[in-house]
Amino acid sequence: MLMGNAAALAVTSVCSDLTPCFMAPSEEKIYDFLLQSSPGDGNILVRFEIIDDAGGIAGIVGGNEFNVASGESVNAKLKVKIPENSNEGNMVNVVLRFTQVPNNEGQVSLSPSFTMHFPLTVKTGEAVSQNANPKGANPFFWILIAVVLVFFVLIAITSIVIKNKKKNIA
Amino acid sequence: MANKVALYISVIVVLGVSGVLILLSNLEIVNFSPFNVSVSVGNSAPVVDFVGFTNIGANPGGIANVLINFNVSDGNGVNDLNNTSTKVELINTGFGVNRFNTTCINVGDIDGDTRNYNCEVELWYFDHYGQYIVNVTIRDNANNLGANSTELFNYQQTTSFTIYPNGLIWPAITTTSVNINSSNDPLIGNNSGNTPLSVVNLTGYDLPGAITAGAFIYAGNFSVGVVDNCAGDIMQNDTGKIISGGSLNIGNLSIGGGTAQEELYFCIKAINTGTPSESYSTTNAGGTSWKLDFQI
Repeated sequence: MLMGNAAALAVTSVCSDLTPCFMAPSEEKIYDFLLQSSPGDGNILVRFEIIDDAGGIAGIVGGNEFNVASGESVNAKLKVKIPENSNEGNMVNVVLRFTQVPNNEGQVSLSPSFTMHFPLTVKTGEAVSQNANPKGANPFFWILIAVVLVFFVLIAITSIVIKNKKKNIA
Repeated sequence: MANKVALYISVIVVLGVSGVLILLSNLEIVNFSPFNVSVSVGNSAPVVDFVGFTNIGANPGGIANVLINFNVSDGNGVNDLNNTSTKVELINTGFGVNRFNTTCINVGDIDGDTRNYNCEVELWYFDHYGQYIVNVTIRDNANNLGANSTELFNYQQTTSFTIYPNGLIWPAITTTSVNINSSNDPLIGNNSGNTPLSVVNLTGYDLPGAITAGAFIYAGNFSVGVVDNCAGDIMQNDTGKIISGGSLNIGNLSIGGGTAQEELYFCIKAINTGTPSESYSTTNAGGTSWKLDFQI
């Protein structure tokens, strides 16, 4: 019996324990999960399911089965709505599973999958902005101003000195 | 805002002092003697005043190019910037990762004092996901250093693995056979992402016969383990079993020797007496593929 190799199943998530995401009470948001199949590995069929919807706050948007062509990627979508009465600092943990639909080979066919946690932290007040790029003031501007002011003082002093000299000569 | 207030105060103070000096001079209260004044303006260090990028995850089994765009200003003009001194690092001290690029590209000048650069930093699939400090440095022609390490790049969690083969086969066996290993194991799992998978959970199902209704090789006849023997964990129909010692860590698969790999060995310990002689498979009618679930 000829046995084929399984293709790589890859999923990228924007939120994780080390790269946390924040949502405000009542906020609703759709998160993308990038499904990839490595080049040369062949097409894969991936099933997306929610194992724990954290009390009904999470749901799949659109389809839950995706045909991912070799070297291509598609997005699976998860909608999350944080309850209005959630407290700041509460952690919401949605559990998801991505399963590669098996090719049905051999006497024991295998269906590989992985189970992941999708943690969200409730945060009230100002929206969280990631990758904010604060711009600092340009110090050259202030140096220029300082030089101009020093120059002005020097002119004043010079004019006084010249005036005094003229007075002494007279 | 504070800078502006300081500026206004400075202007008022300077004008006031100058005015008082002129007034005192005119009233002959003060009498200045000639003196020399020398003013020297120092070289301004470059300032990295903007750093931008997009968070991405790993490229499974390969390299993810992180494009960092940044602006540098120099009070002495853009010609004072040393383009060959630019360096962008992505640093995660917790996981001991430091990737960098010292050949950033001068994209163009924004104005006489500010220049825009692009820099691609390569992150490998086995670099652990998480937050990375973006450290941008540049020197001017006087060797003054400008640096910015205020931004954090999120290397997003990418879970990626390959298993092969994706089905297991056995030689012909009889009811007197014991401890028969699969003829195409081990099943090898490769972790080609940036996320360690710490648990291997396998759900087995009874294998129905191709001919006789109700004939099975039972899941409980199988053992699965990480060692090449028949002493692994005993399977149970429709029940997840955590494989003892099983995990799939991240690592450079090119190193070999089992790095970022896991091997699973499948064994039929025996089959029940009276099991009809025919073909058994999860692919027969009523069969279910075994679920091999990796957990973070």
